[in-house]
Amino acid sequence: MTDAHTIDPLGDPFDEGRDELGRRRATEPLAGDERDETFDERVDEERDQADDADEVDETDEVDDEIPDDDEDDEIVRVVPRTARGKDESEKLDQFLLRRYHLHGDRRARDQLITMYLPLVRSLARRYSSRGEHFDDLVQVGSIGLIKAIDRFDLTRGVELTTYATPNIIGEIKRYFRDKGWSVRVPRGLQELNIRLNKVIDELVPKLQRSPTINEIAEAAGATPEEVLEALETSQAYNSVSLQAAPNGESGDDETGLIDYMGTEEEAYDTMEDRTMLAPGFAKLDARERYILHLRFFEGLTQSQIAARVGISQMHVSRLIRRALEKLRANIGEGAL
Amino acid sequence: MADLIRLEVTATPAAMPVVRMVLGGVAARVDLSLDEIDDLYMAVEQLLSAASDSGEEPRHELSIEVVDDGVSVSAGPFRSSLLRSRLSDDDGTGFDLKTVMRGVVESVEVCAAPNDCYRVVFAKRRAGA
Repeated sequence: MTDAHTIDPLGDPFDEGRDELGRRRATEPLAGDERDETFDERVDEERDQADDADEVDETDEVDDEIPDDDEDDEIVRVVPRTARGKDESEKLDQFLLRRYHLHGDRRARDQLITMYLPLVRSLARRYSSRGEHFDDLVQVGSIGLIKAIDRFDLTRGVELTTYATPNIIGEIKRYFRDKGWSVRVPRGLQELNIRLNKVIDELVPKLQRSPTINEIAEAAGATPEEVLEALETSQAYNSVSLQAAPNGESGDDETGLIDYMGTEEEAYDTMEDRTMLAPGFAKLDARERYILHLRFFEGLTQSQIAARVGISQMHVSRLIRRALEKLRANIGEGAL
Repeated sequence: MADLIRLEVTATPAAMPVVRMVLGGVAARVDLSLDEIDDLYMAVEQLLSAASDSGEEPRHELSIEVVDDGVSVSAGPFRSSLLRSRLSDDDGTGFDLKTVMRGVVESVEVCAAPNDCYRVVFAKRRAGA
């Protein structure tokens, strides 16, 4: 067996795993025990490779063979990545998925997991600078991958990548959402809080002012008491939650709260007034200084600041509180 | 007769959710906006934090009263001269308790209370009221 496997450096980064480990083709016959032995060897080999997936030399050549799904007497011959088409990759996925779902072959499931771990790493890396450990994100992303493999419907005709990616992202975002609450808040209240964020963002431009609790309750289909309780939960929402999904659902179209945040305004840097001169302000970041300036020296309401900066009113509220806490901590006795 | 709610609280972060819920419930009845309610929350939080920083005893009474066009809060009793000065003087930092309180509520008064103490009374009113 002298098969070649190369990495396409221009490949989709989400396809890392399959680039490096998968998409093997069957071209030679393999019979009986030899097939099983080869399968085990290949699984072991690919597990080893998965551990070093990020370091795989793009020119590495590996020997590999797997049995073809439809023709068990054949083995897989690995061909260069550039010579393999998307169809071939899909065939390998389909083969392993059928082995697992139709024959209960746990090794096929394990191999799929191993093959797609680099995809999990790739997705986790996108969120790794947002306050949580990369390894933890890989771990929760792997749960999403396993769920995707286990729930994959062979009859749907979609690619595993297509199905697994939103599952993995959803699991990572759910982790951020749950971790983002500094105290345990019932899921129902979290979701109402998230819904209120949207409702408030819709009501402010419509009413041209900050809405009342009754108006929010009516728009959200909740009671005023429920609204107050849900709004109170936002106080338990810590900074990590900026990355959390606002709707709490899985899916590619999810947008994290971070995505609602505006870009830094030039005004952050050009402010030259007493806000900037206040000694305690030196410890605040530019956006915090800007928001405090708008609130306490320009007299803008939270909703007006939210519109100007491009974030939610709730987020403005949290930022003001955080900035005031920082000022208290930094200035110490004799100040706030 | 105006509604009056009295709360005796320990000025700790753990007590704040209760204070906010009561304040929010009262404020919602007079149709203060979300921004105005959050301002009211911030006034109470900042005042009690400053009281704590000024060496005040941690237990305070909050009297929350519905007024025609908003909510009035009376907090105390306080003894600290440092807290009193923070409410009325610039502290030289350019951003002090007085600035914050006046930024979030319409009126802040220091009223004499028995035993050489004082209370801080502030009000948040509906916009346009």
